[in-house]
Amino acid sequence: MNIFMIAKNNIKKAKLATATLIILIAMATIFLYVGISVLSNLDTFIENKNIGLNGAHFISIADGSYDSSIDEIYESIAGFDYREREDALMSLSSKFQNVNTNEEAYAISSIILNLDTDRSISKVEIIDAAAAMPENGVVVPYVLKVANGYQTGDNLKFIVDDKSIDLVIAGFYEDLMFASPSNVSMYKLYVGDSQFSELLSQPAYGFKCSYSAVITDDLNGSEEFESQYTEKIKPVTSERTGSYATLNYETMKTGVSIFIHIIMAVLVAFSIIILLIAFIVIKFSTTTHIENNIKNIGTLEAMGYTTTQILNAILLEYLLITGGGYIIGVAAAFGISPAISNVVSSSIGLRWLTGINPQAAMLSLGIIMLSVLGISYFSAVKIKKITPLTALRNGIETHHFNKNRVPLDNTRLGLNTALGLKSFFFNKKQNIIAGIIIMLLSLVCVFAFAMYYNFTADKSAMIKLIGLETAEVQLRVEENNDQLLNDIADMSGVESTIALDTFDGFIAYNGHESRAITRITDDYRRLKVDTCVKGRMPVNDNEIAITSIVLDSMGAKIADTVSIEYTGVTKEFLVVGVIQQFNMLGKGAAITTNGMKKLMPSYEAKNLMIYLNDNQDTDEFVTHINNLYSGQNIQCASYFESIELMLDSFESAVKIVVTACLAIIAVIIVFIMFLVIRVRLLGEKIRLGVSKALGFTSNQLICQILISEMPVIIGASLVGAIAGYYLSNPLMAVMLAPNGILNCDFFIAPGLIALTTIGISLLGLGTLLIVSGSIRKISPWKMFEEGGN
Amino acid sequence: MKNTILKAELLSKTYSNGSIMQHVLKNLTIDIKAGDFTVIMGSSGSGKSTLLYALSGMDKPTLGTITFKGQEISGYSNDQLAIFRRKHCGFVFQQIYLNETMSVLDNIIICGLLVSRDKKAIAVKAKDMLLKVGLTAECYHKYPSQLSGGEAQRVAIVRALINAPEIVFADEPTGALNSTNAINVLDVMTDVNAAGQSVIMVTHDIKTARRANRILYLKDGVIIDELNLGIYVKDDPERHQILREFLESMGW
Repeated sequence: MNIFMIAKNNIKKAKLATATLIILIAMATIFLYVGISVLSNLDTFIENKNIGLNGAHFISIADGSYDSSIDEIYESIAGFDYREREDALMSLSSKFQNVNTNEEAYAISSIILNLDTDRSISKVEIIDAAAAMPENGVVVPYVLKVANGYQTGDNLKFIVDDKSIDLVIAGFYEDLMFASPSNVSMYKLYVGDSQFSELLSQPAYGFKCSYSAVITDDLNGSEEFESQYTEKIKPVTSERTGSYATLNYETMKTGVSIFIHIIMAVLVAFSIIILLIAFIVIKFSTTTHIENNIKNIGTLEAMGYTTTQILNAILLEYLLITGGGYIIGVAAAFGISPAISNVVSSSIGLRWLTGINPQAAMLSLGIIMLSVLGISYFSAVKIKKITPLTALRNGIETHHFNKNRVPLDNTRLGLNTALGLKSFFFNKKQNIIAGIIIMLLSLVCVFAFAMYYNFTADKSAMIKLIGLETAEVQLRVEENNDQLLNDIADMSGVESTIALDTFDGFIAYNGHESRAITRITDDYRRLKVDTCVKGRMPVNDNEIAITSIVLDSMGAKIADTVSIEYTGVTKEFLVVGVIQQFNMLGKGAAITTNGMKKLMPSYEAKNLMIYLNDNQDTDEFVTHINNLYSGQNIQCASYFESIELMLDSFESAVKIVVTACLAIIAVIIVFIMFLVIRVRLLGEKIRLGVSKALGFTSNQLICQILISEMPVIIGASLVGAIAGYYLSNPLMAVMLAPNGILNCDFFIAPGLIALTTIGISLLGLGTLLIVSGSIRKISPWKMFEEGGN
Repeated sequence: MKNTILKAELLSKTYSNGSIMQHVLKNLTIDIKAGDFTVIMGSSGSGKSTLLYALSGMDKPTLGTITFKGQEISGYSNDQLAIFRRKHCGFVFQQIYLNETMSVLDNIIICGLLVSRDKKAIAVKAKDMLLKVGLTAECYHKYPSQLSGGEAQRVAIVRALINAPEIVFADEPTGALNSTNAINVLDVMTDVNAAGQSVIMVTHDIKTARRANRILYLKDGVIIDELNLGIYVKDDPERHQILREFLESMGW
């Protein structure tokens, strides 16, 4: 007999534990492999995709009257290589509706380009192109195909206020800069030459602008390029109008990959939890194996096997199991690669194909194999202390001298309850193990439910996390007009309004400088979303609140004095608070209107956030405003709806991940309970047989098992759910910490604790009833005859 | 004239393993009288234990009927058989089979509570019975692993008797004990029988068998003969001789 034969025999004898471990390791492999594979390839993938399409490093959208000045600015910035300029139609209050999918019309800004324009930057390579470009054909972002299920040939209604045009989807394109509305809340669309001309000729659909795509010498200097451009364009455009938008490669790349980084981090964390559960099963199985086979071990030692050989056989056993589980896991990961591709693609808005990744496969194998072998070794190393004589004579000490916790002569409990509780206390080690596993799974369950609810059902907490206001409507005026703003505030249907502007600020402290999108308003207490996490929001003109990312990058903290430079004017501000926001990569700040007037005395608010009454229809209101002030150079658009849309692109990814997590949690709970009860039934076969012989019915014995196990399941799932209730937000904050998120305020319904506990308990109860039901099938004397053998 | 307490008619038990059929009991008919101490003997594989388990309702016969006090029990469901056993039967096993996780007292009370809810009365009765079999209060809260084999088997006997069963079934109760402990256990069994309870015991041991008043000899699943030894009298050499001659005539 060699150690391979011993290992094979061990596996044969513990089929159930082996099956459980193989499944756990397979699941851990799927998550770990997928997580590592995506995380390690994402950056290179995006970079290669951009290189392949000769994607722009920088994009500016501005009023065409500044074209020559902008050219000069480009030439003046170090690293500028070349640019392509083209006409575009920009619509801030556009809405879209896919007629074929019966979706509701949703609001999102758009910029429409001419597909027939020659361009070498951000080339349009059409995916699923229509056989022939229809006259009203439109090429839309790829994200709409993967996240929203749009198909070539679908009718897309383009709506602005009360006017609309029917377009037909003629294909999809990829472009990092406009890959996902989660990154840039704007669609870039391509239409044919005649359609483009028609749209340009109808000002109701938007305004003509200049769209410039720039290639620089250094792809990784695009953020700096944008900084310099922003600085230089400020004095050129009058009163900060005319420069509509700028985008740079680095920010967009980070932006599109943030969410998928979070999702993959969740997968890796989940795989670690599954591995922890596998370790607990290994520890439990190894201890049971040694206890049950101590005489066989003694015999092997007596025959001349060394304890190292026997230990190696156990390690080989787990090596084989891990190998098996790993192969199944990798095969399954390849099997589900279309789903993974869909999750990644819908998150980043680019066509991701999950292929074989040998490095990720090897790294996963290494992590899983080494950790399994390590835990197996420490679980089984006590074999080395067992001499053949002690093994053969006594086995491992299994005498029970524990305190009798439920003495039957004194207890007031019923017989089955008392015996169930005795069993509960007797199996406490096993119960603790099962309890820890169920607790962890219950916590993950609540976390998954919380993610699901806040990403898909009620997005308000997510919107708060992003740091945006929840106003239904945003109104932008080109020139300050107090009368107009006051008139709108007094309109029926308007609950309240608040002027809230932003500007691209540069904050400096101690020689360090950081860019921050800086908000300006009179009174931060009037905002619906409080983003302050430490200290307070600014009240006086010399105060500022800054995100932790910006503070950390400059080495500043609350009570330090920072300076802001704006169009040549530099003023100092006292940091009075720390704010958090998910958008703009967490780089933000907030000052008061008076503070802004220190930097720019002529400053006047031009952006109004409008909160509507509950019964006021947003679309009607927007149309009414746009019609009412049609000649006054204003842009009014749905705001909250467009933010919701931005989050919609995450929805399918979150649904898939959460559903998979919940399904796997259910499978693990079933397997763990199956394992625990099967092992217990095998170990207690004689006791059960004797109990039956003495007159206990099968139902009584099953009832005793339920009484001994259900408190563990209910208790652990309750504790796990409560822990999940309190820890989900801190855990989410930890995951979002790279974006400067310090506090998360996801809504977790207290009822979720009860729901999770009931769900897991019912699942456990069902499993217990099914597994312990096998007691019925066996006659009493056979039970202990077999057990005695 | 003693009443029949347990009766088996044309009892057969067949085990099948694929195409191989093993007929362990063959058309066996037997009457057990109330108050009898019946010993079932026979060579290994003759079907002794199978008969014991069938009579006690722990296993179901393939064919035939078993009646307890005129009531057929062979058609009972598993749960009905369990209730029958708890009310009317007590069991003593060679391997003792005490619950290792329970104290001596709990091992007994657990059975008592199957029939009565009066825990205090059961505990008092258990302590009383333990005293009668020579186990003092020191043992009450000990665990089985802290007892000697003889002590453990006496606890098992008390467990079997706690519900005052009409029949006590014993499968080689002294098989795992040394001679001193075996005698103690057999004395207890004899006392039990003397108190009016029927005992049906399977044994290989002639010293054990001579405690019985009736010996059934089983061969190839059939009772080939039986011996009536009369009431047990201690140190009766003639009784021993009669039994020896009977067994020798059976090819023992």
